[in-house]
Formats: sequence, C-alpha cells, structure tokens
Amino acid sequence: MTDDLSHEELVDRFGAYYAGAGSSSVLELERRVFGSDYGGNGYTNIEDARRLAEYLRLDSASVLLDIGTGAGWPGLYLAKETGCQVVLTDMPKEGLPVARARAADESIAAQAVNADGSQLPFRKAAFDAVTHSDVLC
Amino acid sequence: MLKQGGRLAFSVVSTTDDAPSDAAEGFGGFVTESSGYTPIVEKAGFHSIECSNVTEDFHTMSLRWLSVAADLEDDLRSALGDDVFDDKLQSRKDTRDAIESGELQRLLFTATA
Repeated sequence: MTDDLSHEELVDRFGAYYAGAGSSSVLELERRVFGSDYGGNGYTNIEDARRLAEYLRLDSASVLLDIGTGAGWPGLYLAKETGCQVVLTDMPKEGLPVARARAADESIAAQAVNADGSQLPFRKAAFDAVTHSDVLC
Repeated sequence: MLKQGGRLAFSVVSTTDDAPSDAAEGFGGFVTESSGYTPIVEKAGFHSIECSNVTEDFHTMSLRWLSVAADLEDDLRSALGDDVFDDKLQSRKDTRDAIESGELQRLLFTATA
C-alpha cells in the first residue's frame, strides 16, 4: 500500500497522472477499461455514466457540476450525450487543460475550474445536478 | 449549490465493517474510513437518499484496469513516465487485493435537494 500522503502530495500524485491524460496510450486505456475516453480514471464506467445521466435527469436545460473531474470524466461525457452544460472542478490542475481542449474540439458547453471540492466558488442554486466519483471532499 | 429539487449522485470507496481500523490509511487518503455517509447527506438537507453497494462492479473494473494496463505497459510508461506508472499500478494492485480480502467496498449514493 501507499505511504500516508499529505493533501498536497495527493494532489501532486493525481496531477502527475492527469498530465499524461491526453496521450494516445492513456486514451486507449480509457476506451478499453471505461468504454469511453473522456478522462476516466476511477471506477465509473460508461454504463454507470449513462445511469447517472438518467438519474440526474440531465438534458439541454440542465447545469451539472462534476466535482473531482480529473481530465473531464464523467462530466464531459454527460454533457456531450445530454446537451447539458457542465462545470468541471478538481484540485489537481493538470487535467483541466485536457478537459478544456476536448470540450473546445467537440463544442461541449463546459467550464473547468481549479477548486477545492470543500470550498467551491459557486453561488447558491447554481446547479441542477451534482456528481462526483470516488473523491473525498 | 443545488437548486431545490436538484439531484446529487456520488460514489465513495470506503473500508468495510470487517476491515482493520487503520485500513484506510494505506490508501493515501482517497479511501474513507466508514460508510456513514447517509446521516451526513441527510444533515445537509437532502432527502430520498439511497445507497447501493457496487463493490462487484468495483472489483470488475479493478481487474480490467490491471489487465489492460499490462497490455499497454510500454506505451503507458512512455506517456506517463516510470514513476507515475509504477505508482498507479501499485495503487491499483493494492485496491484489488483489498477488495478481494473484503476490506474495501464501493458505495453509490443518490439524493434529492
């Protein structure tokens, strides 16, 4: 098992992985493991993401907050599939440019914000749905 | 942050009731020490809270990641660097082992604001 890590070390650790998130081999890994290549890293696969879309009732009128998105998963995928707007947040900043680039390439309505999930800089009642996967806040 | 009636869905990896008390410490802080999320969500004002144990899928995904990473190891090492790849691989192996020994579970929570 890993040694106990400080909060900063954990952020750095995930950031180091996300820095390679747009590479062809990581995208191939994502496609084969998660069934999609929108930045998957944890344990949520494409079937789980589809169930999330249904449960969260996402559509083109929705605004979704994805906390701990890494390089965009599953928020980018959910926005692509449902037409919702998505705000992607995470503490490691390295995955966010990857997510922004993918959103721009595919005209996905997404903003990526470097923020701590326990101190999010959003007004009250800003979102129709919130999701996060395997993230501690 | 959620509008009234808005929906929340989140998953957590946590230790099981059978796990040693210090089991979560070995995972660098991304595993919770208990599965007592329902009261927290309730206290935050949510209702219609449901919790599903999705550990079987968690195990499947864990094994799949290790299998695919083995296939792609050379390319992944080139893309990520040896240190990052080795760290990730070890973390995934630790997680698989802890699932199989009954120490880790994954829970999916849904709730309405």
